[in-house]
Amino acid sequence: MRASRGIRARFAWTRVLLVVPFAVFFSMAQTALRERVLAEGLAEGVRGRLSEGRLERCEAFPELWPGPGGRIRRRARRRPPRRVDRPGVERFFAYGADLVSANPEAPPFPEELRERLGAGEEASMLVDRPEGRQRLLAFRTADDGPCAVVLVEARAPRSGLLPALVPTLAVTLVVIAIAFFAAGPIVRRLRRLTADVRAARRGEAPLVPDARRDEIGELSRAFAEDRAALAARMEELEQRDAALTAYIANTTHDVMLPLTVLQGHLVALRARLGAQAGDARTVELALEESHYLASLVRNLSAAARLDAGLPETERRPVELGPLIERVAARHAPIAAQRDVELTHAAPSAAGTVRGDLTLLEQAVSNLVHNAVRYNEAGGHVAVLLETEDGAFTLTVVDDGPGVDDDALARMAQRRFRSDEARSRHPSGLGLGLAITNDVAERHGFALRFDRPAEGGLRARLTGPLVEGPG
Amino acid sequence: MSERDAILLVEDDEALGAQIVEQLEDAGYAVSWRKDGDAAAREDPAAFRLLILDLMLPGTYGLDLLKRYRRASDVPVMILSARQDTADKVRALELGADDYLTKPFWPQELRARVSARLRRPDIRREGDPIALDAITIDPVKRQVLVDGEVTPELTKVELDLLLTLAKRPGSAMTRAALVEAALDPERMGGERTLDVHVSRLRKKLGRAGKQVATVWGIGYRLDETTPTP
Repeated sequence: MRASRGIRARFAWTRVLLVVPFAVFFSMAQTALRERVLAEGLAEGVRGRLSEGRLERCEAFPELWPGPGGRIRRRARRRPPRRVDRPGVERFFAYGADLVSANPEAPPFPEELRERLGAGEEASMLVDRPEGRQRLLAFRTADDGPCAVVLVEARAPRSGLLPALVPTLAVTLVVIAIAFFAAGPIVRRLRRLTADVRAARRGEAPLVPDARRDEIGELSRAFAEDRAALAARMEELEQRDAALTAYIANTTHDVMLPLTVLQGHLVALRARLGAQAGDARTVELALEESHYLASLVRNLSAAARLDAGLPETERRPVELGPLIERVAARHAPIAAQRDVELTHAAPSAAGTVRGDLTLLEQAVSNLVHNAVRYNEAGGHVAVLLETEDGAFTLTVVDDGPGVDDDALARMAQRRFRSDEARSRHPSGLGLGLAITNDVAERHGFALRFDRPAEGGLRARLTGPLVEGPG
Repeated sequence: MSERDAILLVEDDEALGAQIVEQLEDAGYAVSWRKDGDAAAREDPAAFRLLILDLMLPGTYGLDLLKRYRRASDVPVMILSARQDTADKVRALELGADDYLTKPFWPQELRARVSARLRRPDIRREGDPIALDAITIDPVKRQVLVDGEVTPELTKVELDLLLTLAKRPGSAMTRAALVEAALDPERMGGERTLDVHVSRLRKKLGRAGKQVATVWGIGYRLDETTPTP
């Protein structure tokens, strides 16, 4: 609506701005031309009338000429009817070359006209008198003598700029009004095109181009083409994205299989080495690295899935008890090797949440991994699940060295961002924590970190339970 | 384990399959290994106590195999998956799988999951004495024996504590849960009081007192065996 008013108003304003100055200029020129024509007509008429022996009489009786009140007594003669553009002469006066009249009734020669006349033959000017506008015309009849210059006063019609402008402006207004209403169909088509483009964007209807072969039709075809090109590009990107996701999934699979075998071999090797201190330690380090590597690949894989968004189809009821057991079992071998006691507890009916199985497991796993990894020999890590009033609290607490205030504040803020996670935290610690935060957020769970009074670090994940699967 | 539990492993990767077989046989299980889905499909699932099934198999797809097994038997099925997405696992659980393990996993992890799946249901009748290594609890007589000797008489709270822990031997229980189960909250206060009761219980159990283990950050646990010092 706004757009349509806008375009019409602009049409109208453009016309006003273009036409009004032109009309004013045209009217001014017209007025000036008319003035000149009138003045010339008057001069011609007066000269004609003075040539019939009247000047001779002036030479003879300059003090009485032309007659009482400056009026020439008209002889009865046939005259053409007065034309509108030949306004009547009212008074005549004769002046000497020094512009002083011998007739006492004659007014002093007007100063401005004197300047205009100068040494010229003829001059005229308009003056506004109380009785109306007058044209003063002066012309020379002779080089000297009492009647060298004749001054004529004549009525002049009111011929201001405004009266001349009125018809032009009226026509302009009519044209603008016609243009305003004539723009209606164009505006309606544009409005429909806008609605169609928006509907197509919302996916409500395909964009059918306007079939008419004019600019608006062309515009709608351009929109339709653009839309088609965009859709094609989107499809291409989606295909590429799907291919990339599949590639990551397959690559992950390809990495995980040999990693499992490698871990099996390392565990067997560690068992065979028994108490051979140096070699056993080397294998233990290899075991830790392999554990870390597995965690890294899992987190990268989780990152790829988070990047792609979480499909609702992959959300299902997840039992928290088995989840905690799986996570504890995953980290138990490395915890034991590091002499960190990893324990877990959950009520026998632990409760169920709705979520993505793999991501939730990885989120908890990252918390446990960090707690074990940054603990010292002889330390403890406990994973604890409590439920109350349809909500769960999953706590991962350790008695390791903990973190300072700054790090604590940062931990809760870390979010997964693919660029940052890869470039600034190659160690994977930041990545793991960011993924845990992100997974919690996307599930609508709260994750908080604090320091228990006894030291160490405590992470608490809380959220609502759902009705279990039975 | 009284007899060797029979496990069917369906895994196409040679190296991993061989390793799993070795790890499970070391743990005392009898393992049959099939390397492709078609061979596995000919097996009778009812002949095994546990099926370990890789989801990505040549021949029959793992999920089809799962469906076939489920139609024939209720034997527990554990899925091995290397995929980090959830769709496969969700599908497998919906089709009746009991548990899953994602690669990579530790041999210990595998054994823990397998033994959890094979744990026999507690067929002890209500009121039967509970024997856990040196400790025997008779819930009817409300009497506790250590190495066959009757312990000094336990208070009601001490006995309730021991019985509560004995219901899930080997599992840690939180202080809060124990307080709720054994203490009268109105009269006997909270977790500090609990620690005093546990300490007295341990004393009365004598040599077996160590079986009541303190679990850091959680609470207490009744061990199935006496820890060796």
